[in-house]
Amino acid sequence: MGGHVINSSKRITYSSTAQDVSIQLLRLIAVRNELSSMTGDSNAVCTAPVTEKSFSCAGVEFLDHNGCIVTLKRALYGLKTTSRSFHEFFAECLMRIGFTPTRADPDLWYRKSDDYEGDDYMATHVDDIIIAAKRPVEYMAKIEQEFNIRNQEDLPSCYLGNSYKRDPNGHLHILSSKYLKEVLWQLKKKFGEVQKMAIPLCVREHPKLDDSPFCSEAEHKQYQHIIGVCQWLVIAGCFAINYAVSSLSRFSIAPRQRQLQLARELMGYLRKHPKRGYFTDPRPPTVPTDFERVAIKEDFGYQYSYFTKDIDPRFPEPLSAELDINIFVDGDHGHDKVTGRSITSLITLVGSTPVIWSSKRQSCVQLSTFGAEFTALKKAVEEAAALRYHLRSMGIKVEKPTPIYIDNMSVVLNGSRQSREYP
Amino acid sequence: MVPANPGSTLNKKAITLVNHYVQEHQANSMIEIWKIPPDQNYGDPFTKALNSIEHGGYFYKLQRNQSDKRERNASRSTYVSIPTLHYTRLVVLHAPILGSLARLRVPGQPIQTHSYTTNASIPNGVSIPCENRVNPRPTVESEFDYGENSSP
Repeated sequence: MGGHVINSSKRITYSSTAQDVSIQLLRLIAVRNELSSMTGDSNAVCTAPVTEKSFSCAGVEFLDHNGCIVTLKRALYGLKTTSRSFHEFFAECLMRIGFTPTRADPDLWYRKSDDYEGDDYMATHVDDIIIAAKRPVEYMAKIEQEFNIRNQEDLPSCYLGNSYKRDPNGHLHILSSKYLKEVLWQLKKKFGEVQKMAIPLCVREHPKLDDSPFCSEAEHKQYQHIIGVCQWLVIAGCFAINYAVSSLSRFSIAPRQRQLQLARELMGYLRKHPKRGYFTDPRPPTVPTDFERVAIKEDFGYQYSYFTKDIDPRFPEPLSAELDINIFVDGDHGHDKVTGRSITSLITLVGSTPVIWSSKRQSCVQLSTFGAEFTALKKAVEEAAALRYHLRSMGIKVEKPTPIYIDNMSVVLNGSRQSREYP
Repeated sequence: MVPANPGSTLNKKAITLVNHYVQEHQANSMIEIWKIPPDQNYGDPFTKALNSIEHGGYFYKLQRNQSDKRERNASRSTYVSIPTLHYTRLVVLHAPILGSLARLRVPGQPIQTHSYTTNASIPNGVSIPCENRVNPRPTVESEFDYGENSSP
């Protein structure tokens, strides 16, 4: 209460964390370059030097210094700047070992490997670390000289809510079964068991058009609980429920009873398929098999000769071979029956591994299918540029153009033709 | 002033800006835009709710191990397409499943099947550069391709 009247700090108080795409790429590169993975959890947050000025009056336990003013030199749990202090403290340690933060993500670190022609990687999520290297134990030992690392795991079975499993052929399978099991147990305990469902959301279901009574306070809490869990599951890799979660999460403020029922059916789908995840496979995908492209005129490039590629001079030398990037994008015009807003959806595969997925309503109303699809295409181009930058910042070669697959020919034509306004 | 795209009847400034944004990335070989049939678009299930057959079909492809498929495909090069129960979309199913689904057909209407050969020349697990992929259809030259001195 009253948080809005407190002056915000002039200092940065938060600790940044590794992006989910960074973790995905780290896993993928580890598989492709045959690197070993290792995870650990540092409990040395309190060893970071504190940056804010805090003082107290010494008590009787300080014996002769009883009553003296004491100032804090090391961070304590609960202080505003503790996480930030630890982040900087840990970063200094990693830089001493030889790691450099990538340009795309300051919490993804790389270092030229001593063991092979490539880089070793490390990602940090405040005090949780994951290392992908030929000999990760050596890096862990160096970190352990300065920090106490617990829960060390060679060939980790879980990291940040994801379970890792390897099939008999050694392929890495990413799933959220452990988290999901806990969630379903809690849901059963608090709100009753959900029935198993074959699909996350019924066909032709439009939650926006629902006019059933509003939920009671208890039902409202249940709804928010389910949506919160599902939003995390989508980030963690359950992209099969992405559309359903995106459709239902709009009503978290005032859900109706039918919407609550749909949310419970969504949990029923997860109950039926708790072990659905995806494999980390760096090889190119086997589909699509049927595609066509519009020829671009030779002088197409003159119009945009000012354009420069996003090669940052501070990128590391690209040592690793190129990975295939494929982006599949689609738009659904006028999906929202009330506001008329369309939906943009995309999924990005690096190799055969899904890395980025999203299903979101567009911010403005489009008058045609072309407009909706073209807006979706723009989003895909942005994602392509960001991903290429990310890979380059990790020392991965990116030379080939990124194919973006879309099922609307007019969009392909408009994106590939020269404007005649220019000579 | 942002020049309009002559090929488009849409003159909204927002669309024009997006058009240039996409074109400049394609002109400089950062992206390539490819047209695919809707049933091969992995983005499709993220825009709408699907029935269990379609939903399972899309996400099974994404969630399974691709290497398993490659190994299976090494000895099989033909797929059979059959209409789903709703007759709205073609779902590609493996030939052995066809027999078990035969009982689901509508009485009096035979299951219309057609087969096509996948890219069987691709060896198992070999990376195929995008520009070298076999394109089953000829490249489409734009029918709106205005010459340098011609007017639309």
